[in-house]
Formats: sequence, structure tokens, C-alpha cells
Amino acid sequence: MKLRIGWVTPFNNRTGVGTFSKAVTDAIPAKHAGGQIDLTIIAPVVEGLYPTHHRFVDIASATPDSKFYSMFDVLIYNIGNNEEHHKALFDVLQNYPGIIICHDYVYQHFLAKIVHDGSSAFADLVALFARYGEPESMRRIRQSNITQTKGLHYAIWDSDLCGLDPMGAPLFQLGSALIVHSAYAEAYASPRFDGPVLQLGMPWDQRPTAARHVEPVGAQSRQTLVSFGHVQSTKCIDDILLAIASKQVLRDEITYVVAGFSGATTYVDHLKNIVREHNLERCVRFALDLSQDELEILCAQADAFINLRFPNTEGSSVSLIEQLITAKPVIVFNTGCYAEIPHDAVIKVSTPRNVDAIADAILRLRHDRTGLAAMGERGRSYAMRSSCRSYVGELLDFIIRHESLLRRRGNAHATCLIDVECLGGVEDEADERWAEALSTARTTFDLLNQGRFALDPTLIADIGPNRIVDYAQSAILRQGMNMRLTQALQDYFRDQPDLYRASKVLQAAYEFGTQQNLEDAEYLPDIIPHGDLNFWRILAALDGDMLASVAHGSFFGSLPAPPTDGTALQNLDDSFIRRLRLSEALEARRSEDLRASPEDLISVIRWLRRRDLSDNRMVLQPVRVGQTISTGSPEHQQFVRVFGFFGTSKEHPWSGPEPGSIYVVPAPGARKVILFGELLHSGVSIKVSLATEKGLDYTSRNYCRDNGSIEIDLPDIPAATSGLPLCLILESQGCRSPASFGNSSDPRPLGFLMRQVAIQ
Amino acid sequence: MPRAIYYRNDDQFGSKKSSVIYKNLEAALSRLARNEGRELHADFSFDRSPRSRTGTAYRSIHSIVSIGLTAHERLANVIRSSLIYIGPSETRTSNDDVFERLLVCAKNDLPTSRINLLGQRARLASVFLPKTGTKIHDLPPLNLFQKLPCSSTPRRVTIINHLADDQLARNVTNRFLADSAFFIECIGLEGDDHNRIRYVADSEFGDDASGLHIHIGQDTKNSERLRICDSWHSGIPVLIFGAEWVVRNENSPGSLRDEYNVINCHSIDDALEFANLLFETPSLYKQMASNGRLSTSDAVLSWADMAKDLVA
Repeated sequence: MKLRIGWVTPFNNRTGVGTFSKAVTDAIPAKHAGGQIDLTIIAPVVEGLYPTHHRFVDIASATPDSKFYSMFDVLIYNIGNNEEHHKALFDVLQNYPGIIICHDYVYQHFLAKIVHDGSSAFADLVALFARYGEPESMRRIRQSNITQTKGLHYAIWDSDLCGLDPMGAPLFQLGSALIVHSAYAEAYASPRFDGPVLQLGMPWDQRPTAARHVEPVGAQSRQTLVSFGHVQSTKCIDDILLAIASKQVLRDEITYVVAGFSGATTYVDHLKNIVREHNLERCVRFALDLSQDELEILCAQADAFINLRFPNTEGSSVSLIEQLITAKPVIVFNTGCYAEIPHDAVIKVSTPRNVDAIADAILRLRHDRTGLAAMGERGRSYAMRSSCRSYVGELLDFIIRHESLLRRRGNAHATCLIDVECLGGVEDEADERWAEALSTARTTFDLLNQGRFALDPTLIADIGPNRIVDYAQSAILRQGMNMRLTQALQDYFRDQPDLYRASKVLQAAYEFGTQQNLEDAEYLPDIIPHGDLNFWRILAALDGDMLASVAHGSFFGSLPAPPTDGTALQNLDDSFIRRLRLSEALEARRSEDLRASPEDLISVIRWLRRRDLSDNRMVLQPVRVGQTISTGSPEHQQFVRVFGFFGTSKEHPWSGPEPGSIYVVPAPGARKVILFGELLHSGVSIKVSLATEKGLDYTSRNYCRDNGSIEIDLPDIPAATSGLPLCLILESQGCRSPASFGNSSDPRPLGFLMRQVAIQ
Repeated sequence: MPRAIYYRNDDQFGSKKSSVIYKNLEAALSRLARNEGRELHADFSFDRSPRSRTGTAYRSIHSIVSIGLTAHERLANVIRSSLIYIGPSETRTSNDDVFERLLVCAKNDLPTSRINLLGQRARLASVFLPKTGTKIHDLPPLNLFQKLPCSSTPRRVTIINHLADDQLARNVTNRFLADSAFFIECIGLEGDDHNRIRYVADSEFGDDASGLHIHIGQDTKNSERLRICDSWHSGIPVLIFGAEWVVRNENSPGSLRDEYNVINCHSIDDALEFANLLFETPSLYKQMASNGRLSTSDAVLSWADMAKDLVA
């Protein structure tokens, strides 16, 4: 019997997976357990390609959905967290299920690159977290604010948090069986994959000349410690440098060599800065981009290795295996796949990312030389559990053991031509759950490639009421860090029967608010839930312009009228004034244009006039009865906040034609507020209205004194003296500029000059 | 071998607007098949498997097209493109059956399916569907290949109101009732039918019943222009109220040209006079009708384009 295996892999010396594939396929025998093995390596042809005695096919010579792949009995995919090396083989995996050898633990970078190439501006990444992450993952990705291009945001896949959300599930679920290289990786994969999972140790003999010369420990006067691999922040080399700097004895007695590829130059610069800052030049050496021979010499000279990793993104560590087989002590964190090595075979740092703990671990190298040598031997025998030959043997046994399952599942091609083929897909009931997951994963990647996964109706319907808030906030409204928005969304989604429809409405409103496309205004009135104040709260939390344009669009099917004079928007920094202006504008429109129920419009206008405290995040001290605050004085900002005036923080704030607002907290027992000041000229008239939590209050009376000061009687309602800020809205009419009187060259139209605020 | 075209059309009864539209598309598909030498099969169904197997998308080397929402629902498990007409309706989206069904479809559709939405509320419907897979089209003119009415004997006129305010349309209708003997059909107006007047909904509109269309409107909304194209294609002369959007000399295709493809009325008296004149002067009637047909010769292509897009 013949087993035709297609080994789909990167096959070049630029990636560890390529080296692994070269070594392992070289060890695959022509016969196993009485059957013939016919192996074809399918790989991208790139620079640094390894030679092989097996049949080799360029992956680019067939399309990913080519019938060519259905010729194999089993396909074996080598998948890693790197889009450049793995995308081509991943495309095949999407069409033809096979065994997946999972080389990494975290696959966020791979997925992020696919998302980045789409057109969703990372909304699709949020969607991936929604479908394949934990509930907390949604919070993490929302708070990373990655969907917003401006302001504070970060790439979660490049942060310490990436280890918390490995996101391998959608990739694994495309496979028919999994091979993992550590218990750590298995613990993530097994619960998320319905099928056989085999854990195999990483073979130690992948590189033919890996450093195997065992030197006696401590031959030189200074101990040499070496780290190698890509120099990047997950290796925690900065922590190691700080640990060395923190102990004089380490500075005096060791040499630390940072070897490896210097891909991340900013990180290398950062390390060099640390060395300079702490005067570590004598004990730290950089040996970047060494040849294989040079690296081997360095390894031979080393007394010990440091191999720290945080966060843990790999399923296992080849560099660790290579260090262990030198029988020298290796310092590791007790996390991820490193935690699986017996405690007496390596030196484990008690707490990850802790400089003191790292220093203590390095200090252990100074004592008990014989103990360390024994530890090195134990490490070496641990590393040598698995060789390429034993790896291949176990892999082939696994295939034979599960052959019928693998063949059955292998038939579930992504597409089936109904005219010429028998119906594909999975028939066996035992595979039903697996097939469900496979189907979901395929749809996911189909939509990801089209850049429209985030708005997949099935996804949103499945997301559930708990996570929809995080989802809508980051994927649709793109303001992950806006706390008011979170609150408003929670209220909005609380009783929604159809989450998809509710989110689509939000999306339509958001798009209209940002693009202000007049054509879209046509249908807006038909879909907006006019009477739902929570919906309007969301828009208010987004920003004032959004609220205004969507309000006009959804009640009247058109955009707000452009401001008629140039001064109109200059002083509108107070959101409450903006809301009042909006309410006036909505009220002023012709009622025959209204395309919603008048009651809804009235309730929204009433809501707009109610002052939303969170709009004005201000803390003011109460003003005692009888107290007078001079504007511009040192205590002014503690007691009074003024918006919409010319020179609000100066000694002479003048009101203009725009409404201005004055916030003040009268102490209990207050009866009136007096604004001492003067009018520019006799033609100016001032109207003051009082706004409380309940809305605009028209019962308060105010009048101007002869000298121009204004008195406002506080109404006899608790809201007026409840200890919350009162808002006085000052509208000045008949304003003229000093220049028009020839008094000065000041061209600003001025009304009332406010000198003092008093409470009586 | 050229790929065959398989399609399923919703069952159509009567002369409802949707059925006219779907018949037009069917005709366009058959012309396309004839031109390209492809086989055409109606009433396609995919019943070889009791249920599609999970994890696999079904595809055909042939083009599979569904026409109408019901057909779209039935073929959900085969890769296909669909054309769905969204008729005008007064109900809000929240209690509209069509939108409910579209939402359910959106949740079951394959990621590769393409939906073409057609009609006045297509844009509204597209709000609820994933954007990339959905295309929105304006309605191409109906009744492309109907013969021109040979005589103008039926003496029926249709008054089509495009304005939100129906006052002008009412005045026109009342004057026509009072001062002429025409049978009148009104669209966009409400009232009680009696022996000389019928009030019909937009979707019940059958444009072969009348010999003259009077469009009442003021702006150049697309839907309104398209309805005028409908009239032109039906070979029916057009009178309009609303002088602003009529030009005299512009020669671009589809533009409204006074006394060429439309007659612009400045008063109800004008309209009555023109209506009588047209019905009494067969040569003038034919001239107006064929000028109208000529003005939309470019739009005739759009059904063909749509068919081509569907089978691509």
C-alpha cells in the first residue's frame, strides 16, 4: 500500500520552519510499517531554498483550490505566525483540510497582516477577537483603540498582551488533525479543535552541525553568558541588561553576549542606550548577524545561556533545544513551553519580567559548579528525547492510526462543482462538530480576504448582548477608549431583540454622520429609532457634529443648514450650548418636512435641552450666599466656569452675539445670582435663561439693573440649589463693536462685560 | 463549451410591477444566451442532496442566477448571483416583511454570493446587508418590446404624482374629470374609484392601460426620471408639469426636451388642450411616442447589462 503525502511548508533557510521541514523530511523513510511512503514537498520557491531528495513542487504552480491537492492521501501543513512565509500554504489549507503542524502559539501577527491587507481598517480584527477570543479579549482589543487611526492606540499583537489571545483557533479549525510541540500549545489547541491532537517534542538534530562540543563549565576568568535568536523585545534582553547593571558582582564577573539577527533595529538601539546609560560596555557585547560557524564558536565558548521569552508566542523553542544539548546551564522564565522543562534541568527565574529575580538567577551560576554541570546533563538528555527520526516515526504512526478519519476529512474540499463531482463535504456524523467549525473558519477567512468580516450578520447575531457593546464601540464606531460611549451603548443594546439590526442602524448613522452624503439622508428617517433616547446618547458621546447631522438627517431627511454668518461657530466650545443650538435648529424647521412622529422630535428636543452633566466634566466649589467672585481673579476658576465669551479666563470677559454660558454652584439657601458688569452701549439687550438638570427653566426671572448688572432670581425648585452646577445662558442682542463707535480698533461685536458673579 | 445559464424565477402572477420586471430580466437573459450561444434552463433547483453538507460551498461551472427573493432563499446553498426587486411600500423597515426576509437571507448567504437590488427602496435595503456583496441599481425602463399603440382610441390617461403635496395633482385630476371624457388612472394619489377614475398603487401599475402619461413633479429625482423613461419605453406620449427641468435644445440622451419627447404644460388648460390635440392627431401622437423611444435608446441596454452582470 502506498501513502501519498503532500508536505506543505516553507522550505528555506530564512525561517525556522523551513529548517525544521528540511531536517524532518530528510528523515522520512521510503517505507513505514509495511507501506510505501511517497512524499512531495510543496513550498514557495524563494531565496535560500534547501535541496531535497524528495519530489518538489513550487506552490505557485497550482492555484490554491487546484484539483492537484486532491491527489494526496494526506496533506501536512506547517503553519507559523508569519504571513510572508506562510500565506501561500495557508491559502491551500483553506481549500483542502490536512494535518497541521502548529509551530507557534500566538497567531495574531499572521491574522493582523491579513486584516491589514483588507479594507476594514482593523474592524475585522475586532471581529476575529469576537468570534475566537474570550469575553475579556473583546475588552482588550477595544481598549487598544486599534480601529482609530488618530489618537492613542496600539497594536495588541506587538504588546505584552498578545500571549493572552493566541488566536490560533480559526487556523487550526481548517485542519483535520493537529501536531503541537508542547503541552502549553496543546492546552490551548485541544479544547478548540474537535479531532486528534498529537504532542511531539521538537527534534534536537535539525541543524547538522549544531553546537555539540561540550566545553567544561567555567574555564575562563569571566563567565560568558549568551542569548541568541532574533533580537526583539519578546526576548526581554533589556531586563537582562538591567539585572546585570543592578549587581556589582555581575558587572565584575560576567560577560554577556547578545547574538542574533538584528531585525528590530529600534530595539537594538534601545539596548545599546541601556548599555551606555549604565556603563555596561565592559561586560556586555553585541555580536549581531553572525554566520552559522561564528555562532557555533560563540556557543562553544559560552558558559551558560539566557533564553527568556515574554510574552510566549512560540509553541516550542528550537533555540532552547540547541542550547540544552550543549549541556550548559540555561536560564529561562517559568512560563509557556519553558515551564515544561523539569525544574532541575534549567535555571528558572521565579517571576517573569522581574529584574531582581533575573539577577538572582544569574547569580546562581557563580556557585555549585558540579551541580550546574549535572543540571546541564539533565537538560541535554531532556532535549534529546526527540530526534528527527523518532519524530517522523511517531508522526507516521499517528497518520496510520487515524487514516480513515484523515481521508474522510480530507474530502471536505472548500468547494464542490455540482455538475461534475459527487457531493463533497462531510457526511459522517462523528465529524459534525468539526465540520461546523471548519465551515465557520472558511467563511471567516473568505470574508476576511474580502475585508468585510466585521459586518457579517452571523457574527453579530452570535456575539451576544454582553460583548456587543465592546464590539460596536470598536468595530463600528471606532472610539474604543470613550467611556461615555461605552455607557451609552450598554443602555442602547440592553433590550434590543435583534442585535444585527441595531448595529446596522448604528453603522448607517455613523457613516452618515462622518460622510454627510445627501443621498443617504433619503433613507435615514426610515431606519432610525427616533424615540430611543439611548440612541441619541450614543451620538452625543461621539461628537457634537455627529449628533447634529444625524438628528437633521433622520428627522428631516436632509443635512443641517450651513451657518449663515461667519461668526456662528467660533465660540461653540461648550457642548451644552451646541445642544441648545441644535434643539433650536430642529424646532425651526418646517413641520411639513418632518419625516418622523412629532412626539419623537419633541422628546429629543426636550432631551437636548436637558443638561447632561457628563457633557461638562467640571468640578466647581459652591459659592456661599453673600460671596462675590471677581472674574479673572485667582479663585475664579474654582468657582465659576465661563464659555462662549471673548476672553473667558481674563479679567474682562465680554459676551458676543453668540450665546455664552456661565456655570456656577450656588450654596443651599441662595435666592439669586447677580452678574455685576456693564453693557457696551445702551442698544444692547441681554436675555438670560437658566438651565438645570430638568431642562431650560423659563420660570426664573431676570432683569438688568440701571448700571448694566443682571440679577437672576433662582426658582424655588430643588434642582436650582442641589449642589450641581447651574448653567446661565446669556444671549446678547444688538451687539456692536467698539470700532463702530470709533472708540478703538476692536472689530468684535460686544455685548455685556462681566466683572463679578455674586450669590445672594 | 460555453457555460450554460440556469435560473429560477419567482412564480409570477398577473401584471404586478415586480412580475413585469422579472419578465424583462428573463427576456434579457434569453437574448444574452441566444447571442452568446449558451444553453438556458429555467426553474433550476438544487435538490440532489437533502441538505448541503457543512463545510463545503457548492459551485457550478455554469451560471446560476436567482430572480426574486423567494428564488434567492431557495438557492441559498449554491453559489449564485441574485436580482431582487424591492417594491415601494409605505411601511417602516421595522415592520416590513421584505426586510425581515432579507435579513434572514443575509445571515445564511454564502460569502461569495452577489446580490443586485433593484428599485426605489434598494438603497434602504442595502443598509441592512453586507455592503461589498450588494449592488444597487436604479430601475431600468419597463416594457421595452411592447408594440407602440397603433391607435389612440382608448382615450385613457394616467396621472402620475411625484410630489409629496398632492394639491396640484388633485386640481389636474378634477379639471380632467370635469372638462374631458377621458378615463383616468391615478398613481401617487388617494381617493375613491368610480366609473371614470381609478386610484392604483405604484406596484399595481400596468402601463398598457393608458394612452397618455401626465407626470407631475418638480425636481429631478432619479426615480421620477426613470418613471418617465418607463413611459417612453411603453411608447406613450408624456405631458409634464414642472417647467424647471425641461430643456429646449440640449441633445444629450435621456434629457427632457419640450415639444420633442415631452410636452411641458404651464397650466391645466394647456394640458387639456395638448391631451385632446394628441388624441385627435395620430401623426403627432406617433411622433411624440417615437421621439420618446429614441431618447432612451441608451437605457435599453441596461437590462442586457444587468443580465450580463448576473451571469458573469
